[in-house]
Amino acid sequence: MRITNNMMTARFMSNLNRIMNKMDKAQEKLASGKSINMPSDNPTGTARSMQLRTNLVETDQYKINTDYATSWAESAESALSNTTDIMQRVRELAVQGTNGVLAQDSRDAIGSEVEQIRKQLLLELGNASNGGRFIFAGAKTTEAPFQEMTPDKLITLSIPPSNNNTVGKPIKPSEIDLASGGGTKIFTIAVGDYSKEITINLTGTETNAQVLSAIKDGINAQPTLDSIPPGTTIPNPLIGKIEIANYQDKIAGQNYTGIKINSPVPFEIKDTAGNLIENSGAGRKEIRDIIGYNGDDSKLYVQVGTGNINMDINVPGGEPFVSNIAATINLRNALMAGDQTKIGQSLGFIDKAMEVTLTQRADLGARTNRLDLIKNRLEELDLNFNKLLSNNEDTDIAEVITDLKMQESVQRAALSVGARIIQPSLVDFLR
Amino acid sequence: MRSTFFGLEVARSAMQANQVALDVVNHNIANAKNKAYSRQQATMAVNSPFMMPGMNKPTNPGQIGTGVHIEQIRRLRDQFADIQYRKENKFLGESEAKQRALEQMELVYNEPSDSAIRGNIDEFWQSLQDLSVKPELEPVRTTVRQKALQLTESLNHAYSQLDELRKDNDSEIETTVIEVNSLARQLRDLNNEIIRVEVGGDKANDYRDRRDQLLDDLSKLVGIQTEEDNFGAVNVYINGKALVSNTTCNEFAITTKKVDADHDFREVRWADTNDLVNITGGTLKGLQEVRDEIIPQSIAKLDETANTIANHINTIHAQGLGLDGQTGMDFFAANATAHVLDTTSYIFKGDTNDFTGTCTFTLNGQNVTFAAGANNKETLTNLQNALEGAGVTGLSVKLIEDKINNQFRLEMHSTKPISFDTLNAPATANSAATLKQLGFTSTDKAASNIAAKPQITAKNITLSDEIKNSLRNIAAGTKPTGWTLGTKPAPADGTNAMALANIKQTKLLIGSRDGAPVTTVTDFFNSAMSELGVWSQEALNTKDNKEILLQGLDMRRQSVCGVNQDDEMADMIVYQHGLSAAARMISTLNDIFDTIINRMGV
Repeated sequence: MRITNNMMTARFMSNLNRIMNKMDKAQEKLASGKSINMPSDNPTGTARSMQLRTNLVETDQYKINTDYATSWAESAESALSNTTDIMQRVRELAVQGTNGVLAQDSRDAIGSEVEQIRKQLLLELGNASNGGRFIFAGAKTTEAPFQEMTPDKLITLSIPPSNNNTVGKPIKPSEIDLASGGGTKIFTIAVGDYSKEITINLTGTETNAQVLSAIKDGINAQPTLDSIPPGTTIPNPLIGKIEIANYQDKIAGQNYTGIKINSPVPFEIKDTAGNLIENSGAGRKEIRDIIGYNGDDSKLYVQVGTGNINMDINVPGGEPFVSNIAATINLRNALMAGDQTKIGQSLGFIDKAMEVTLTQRADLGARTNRLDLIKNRLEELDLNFNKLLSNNEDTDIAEVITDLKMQESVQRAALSVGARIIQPSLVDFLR
Repeated sequence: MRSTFFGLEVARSAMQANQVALDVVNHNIANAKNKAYSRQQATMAVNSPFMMPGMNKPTNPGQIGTGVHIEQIRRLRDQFADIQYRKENKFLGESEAKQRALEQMELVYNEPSDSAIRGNIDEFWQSLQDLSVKPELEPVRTTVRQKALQLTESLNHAYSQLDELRKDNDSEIETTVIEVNSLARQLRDLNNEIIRVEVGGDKANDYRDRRDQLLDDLSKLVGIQTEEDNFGAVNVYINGKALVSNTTCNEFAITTKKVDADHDFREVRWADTNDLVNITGGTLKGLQEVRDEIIPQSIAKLDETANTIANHINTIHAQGLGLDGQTGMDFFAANATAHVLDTTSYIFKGDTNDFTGTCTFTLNGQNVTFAAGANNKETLTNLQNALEGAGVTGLSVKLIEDKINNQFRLEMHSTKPISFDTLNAPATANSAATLKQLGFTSTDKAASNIAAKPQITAKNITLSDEIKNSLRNIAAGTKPTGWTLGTKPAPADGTNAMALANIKQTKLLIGSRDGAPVTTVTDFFNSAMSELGVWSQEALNTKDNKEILLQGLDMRRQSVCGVNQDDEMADMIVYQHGLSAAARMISTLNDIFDTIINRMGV
């Protein structure tokens, strides 16, 4: 083929350009450290790269979640370990209290220490928080789950003065139909499923004051906490005493007398037929309601793995605090009452409560272990993904530099050869 | 008998011929570096010999040669190589246009990286995860909103850049067509010149060079077939129809066609018949393909990504509860242009009165009551006041007045879909008929002629008004069984947020033959990027291959038509010697004449 100068120059330039292109690519890979700078550099590698980056982000987030779960478990464990310690003290106090030789003063003193411990359990430990959120409150993390109970309701049974010798219809706020005439009147005071029947025998000729007094006596014979074992959900105790007081009021110009029932717990009054007459407060039916638990049963979850692998992080429902608080109340009441047998019984309740606490702590321990394993696995995953990502998209510096060196030498050869052949022409040799 | 001065003419013809040949060599050397130049050669031929047979023929032995003349200045060009070159050139033009566009598209998406769309999706997911763990904390909610906004903005941005690219390619079509027309005109003019020159017997070498250059340029822009006729003109055909025919040319014209609401694209037609030009190659085809296929396909995938994310998030979000018990809200919305009630056909004369009585209806849940006035203008004004006073969010009403014809109509603009109903309002005598006259052609909500909720695309995706207004509206909680309206969720209830986050890993998109979803949103987007990479790589390879191929063909051409300086130098020496020899011959003949004339018989 006939060759012209232009052809040689053109070929030389185009080959040189090709080499420069390759060197430019190599320089880009070295300077950025990445062999995939655009999808066209490696299409399948790009998709894999994007997937791996997503995986890294996910693993990172799962690690954050796991750490969060671990910190909650640790806060819970700390509160519960304190609880165990305190309950040990309570047990000691209980044993002290069983000493029959103690005077009531001493018992009262022990009782007030128990009361302090109860407060601590209720207000400090039960309301433990992590990052401003209460960890034992179920899903209601913005409010403290344990609160002191305040006296709840006043029920007025009043008898209008006009019916002086008969028991007439009481007026507001409640009604007990003590029909005129004698006979046995039975009405019940109930708290949740637990109820106490109060029987009054009337002859129909009692004065109001006598009727009221009979009702008072009936109510005073109430069940107390110490007859109900802690940790059970159904039978509902009335804590402390229900106070019955005489009550005087002037309503519409007339004087009424009646009884005030002051109870720290909600209760109901039903008539003989079982119809509800008065209800002091709905919805709080269990021990923990009485003790003052405002949280709920919801479990809180964090996601620690792809495929909806969720880990629950909290201790909902108020246990084991409810049992422990109930046990302390039990002991306190028994000490205040000076009842030897009941003090003895309370030891059993304390032990039961401590068992509940230990079970919960074991569960937390298992959970923490699992979280550790998950954390380790996530860290390994992180490492693996990083390695895969690096393999996929990072430049193999040694390889690229070798390549670059090779191209450099090709470039030099091309330049020198090009220089040699495009320069001389016949003109140089014609004289 | 031989003439005395016979030899002089022969020598003179030699000198002349050699001088002309040298001129040609001179011209070749001058244009050695000119890529568009084809080398020329002076071909010499013998003059007619002496003597011809006839009655008066001299008796000397013959025939005697009478010298040399330049027969023609020949242009050396491989026409076949030209045809091959132009055939391949159109592929180069096409792949160059495509490769350029694809490279720019890759830069728009900027994957793989941590700050592009994929990164934004992942960060949004992370914020939702945090929300599922701490839904009652305000900074966590702020982050969710921020990350969502970032995602919508990057989707909007990617769309607008791709759209810009599309429009740029479209306007490039116009520029290219102008260039094609200019080339066609120049070709026609050159055809003219060449015919005139060659009819006279000369060879229009330099004009032909110029014409071949133009044909090369044209062949890159649009695929052409060429044909030379007997007079030397070249006819240029594009798929059968002549662009340049002898001394006429049919130019291209640009018309615009409305492809959709936001796009007016250019069409290439023949100026004389207004038919569409059937373009099968070249830069024009590449540009058209980029504008009509490549970019829209990429935008479609982007839209599907945005749409899938938005719809699924909205569905789950609407089922959840905000901090105050709100429910039924969307998270993402379409930042649509206003919904407009099309009232162009409902025009009322200002001085007549077509309405009676009072009409009541509900619009987007608000009651609207208006009374007919003394004339249509008053009625419409009453309606406008009633609508504005009704308290419908995002509604604006305009009374359009045509002063020339004294006509009026009402135009309603809304940022939300409009739905109206007469069923829930106390019906008055003329409600339905009045509304119909006003342009609410159907009392059935579904059939109202007001636009329905627009599809969410990458162009218009944005946060919904509810989320923009209050962080408490982000529905992180779930409705418990037996939920009643207004009940708040527990503060730490982040289960709906968890469900929102899980969307990223759920198989949502149809990919398999039986229609079951097999791809997650991120997989879909990743594979769209991968596909873009494949197209771009393919375009780059095609372009490189075509470049190499063209270079080879060009070499073949140059081999025939290129100037080799050494060649010319050698020729120069040859002709120079020829000239010197002829000059020497003249000197010798001069001496002979001198001898004969001055020295013989003296």
